[in-house]
Amino acid sequence: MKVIVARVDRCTGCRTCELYCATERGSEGRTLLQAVQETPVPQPRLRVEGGPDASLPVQCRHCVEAPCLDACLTGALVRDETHGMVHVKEDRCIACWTCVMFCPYGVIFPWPDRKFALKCDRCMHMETPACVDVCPTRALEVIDLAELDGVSAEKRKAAATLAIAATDGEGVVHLDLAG
Amino acid sequence: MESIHVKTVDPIGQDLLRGAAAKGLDLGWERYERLQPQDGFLRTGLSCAYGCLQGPCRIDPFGRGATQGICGLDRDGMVAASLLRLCLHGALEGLTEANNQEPAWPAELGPAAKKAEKVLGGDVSAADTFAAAKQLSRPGASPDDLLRQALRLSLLTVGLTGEGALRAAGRLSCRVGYGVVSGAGPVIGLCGRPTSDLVAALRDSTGASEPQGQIVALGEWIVADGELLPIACTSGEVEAVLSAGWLDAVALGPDADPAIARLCRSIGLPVFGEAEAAAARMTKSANGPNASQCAEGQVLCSAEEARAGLASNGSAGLAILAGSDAPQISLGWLPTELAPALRAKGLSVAACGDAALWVAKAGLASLDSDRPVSLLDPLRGPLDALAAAGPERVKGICFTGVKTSRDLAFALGLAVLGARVSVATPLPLWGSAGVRDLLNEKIAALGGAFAHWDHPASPDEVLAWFGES
Repeated sequence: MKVIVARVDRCTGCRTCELYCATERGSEGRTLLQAVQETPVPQPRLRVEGGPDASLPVQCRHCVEAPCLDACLTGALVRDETHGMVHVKEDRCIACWTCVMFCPYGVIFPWPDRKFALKCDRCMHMETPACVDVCPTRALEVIDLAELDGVSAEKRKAAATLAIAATDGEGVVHLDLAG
Repeated sequence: MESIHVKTVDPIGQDLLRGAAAKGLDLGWERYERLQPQDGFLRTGLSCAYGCLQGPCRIDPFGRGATQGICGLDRDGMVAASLLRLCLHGALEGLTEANNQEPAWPAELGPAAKKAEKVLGGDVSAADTFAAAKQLSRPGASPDDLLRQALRLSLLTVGLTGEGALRAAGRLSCRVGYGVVSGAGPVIGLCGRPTSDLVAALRDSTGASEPQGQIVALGEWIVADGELLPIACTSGEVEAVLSAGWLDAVALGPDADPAIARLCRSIGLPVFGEAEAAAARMTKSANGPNASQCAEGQVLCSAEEARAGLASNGSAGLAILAGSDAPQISLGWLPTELAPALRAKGLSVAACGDAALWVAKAGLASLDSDRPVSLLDPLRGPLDALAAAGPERVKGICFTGVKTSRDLAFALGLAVLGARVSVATPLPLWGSAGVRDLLNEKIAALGGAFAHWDHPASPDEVLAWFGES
């Protein structure tokens, strides 16, 4: 299964991903200048969060044990058998927003104007997700889940090495809880 | 995917692009594609244009994020300020090049200019640039005031065109096309608006070489010793022509894009400044294209010539194609499709700038052809034509692309003078429907019209726009 990963060290918070996600996946015109004229205004399926020190685009993780799937009252949320992505069948969604409340990451968004829940489906029927395609700093990438595990293991190893070096090889950080 | 065929309509130009790709050369197209998508906030005019360092502030065009800048400026104010800033740049460019900083319009358009000045708040002068700079220092002015000032500056820009780019009277013969690069002697290319001293030094150097060399303009209209230098290509094709290896050296003026000098260095093409040009020993080393790849036309350089050359001849009106190459639209697509289509509708056609080079390259301006397209001064041509034919007979002026703020301000200024004007490439006005409506109202009150599209316009759309008049 392929997923989108975001690199916080590369994200400048420019929100280009939001603009073009809303344009590509939320508008009729499919171009930015036409999308900005539409009513209701198109909405993105990912959101850039954070402040001046760090920003990060967040979108659905497509959890293996997805709480939203269990929470959905009408079966509007389903997992695609081919791609493994969790997505919303918009015609079945009754806009009860139960999934919004159950999502542990806060990445399902209500869209009252169109009466359905909005979430990233990784643009699974497109060659590359719109957000990944437009990111000017390549902060968003599509990688295979197995590869992601490898990347995470590398990161953990690098962090552990740094921690050991910082503690004179002891590898134990003593916290002064008494203050 | 092979996409060269959508970059330019010229089959030889397509071959040049393929050749450059085979050599691994990075041209403007590659840079353009790497920049996609270009900043969405700037494209919609929703990136704040005020000279303020509290920001940078941007407004979310979809209304979910910020709806105001830190100071409270809303989207209408931001888009209007963005347009004013572009017009200010355009007017300043005109002022820096004008011999006389007092604006002047052709006598026939005097009443229209007076009316516009009256409606827009009084006489227009160079002082309007200071007023605009003051308005852009803090966001206190309303969108209405900002647009009024933008239109005043656009009128000023038109009034500062002076003697035009060619600064010539009468008619000048012009030769256009890749074929002008061929010849037995060395060939030197000129681009970036070279100084007259540089051009003179090069003429001396090439004249002294054996066999005699020649200088050709690359996307420029340059008059030397009362003659228009042969023009090898349009402004959008300069890098492709350089990459072909047809030239023996290049001389760059102060306005040359950084990419040109970089490309010359990477392919080992000598680049001359003024000092080197005088002392240069020219030798022929490059092989040029086929000499037949060249067409001829005649440029009507002044208002008087435009008056004589654009006489009605029983046509249903006059259509003007202006503007420069733009990467959003296949090079040459609009001018070469529109000119014959407009003629087929019974209209006379005039062209200037890159649009004129494309129609000339296509043989549509040849004096041997039936109803040739008239070529005009690249800077003030549309103004001369408007004065000569009158706003009623001019069915429309389409800018097939705008490259500089001055082009945009000039286009707006023509609309302020009562002309129907369109720009075929998107402008940063789509972030505010209110500002677009207000701009249309203001121009309509002056008898003009200003159209633009939210996408690069196709020939069919522009043709339909001409038909609406």
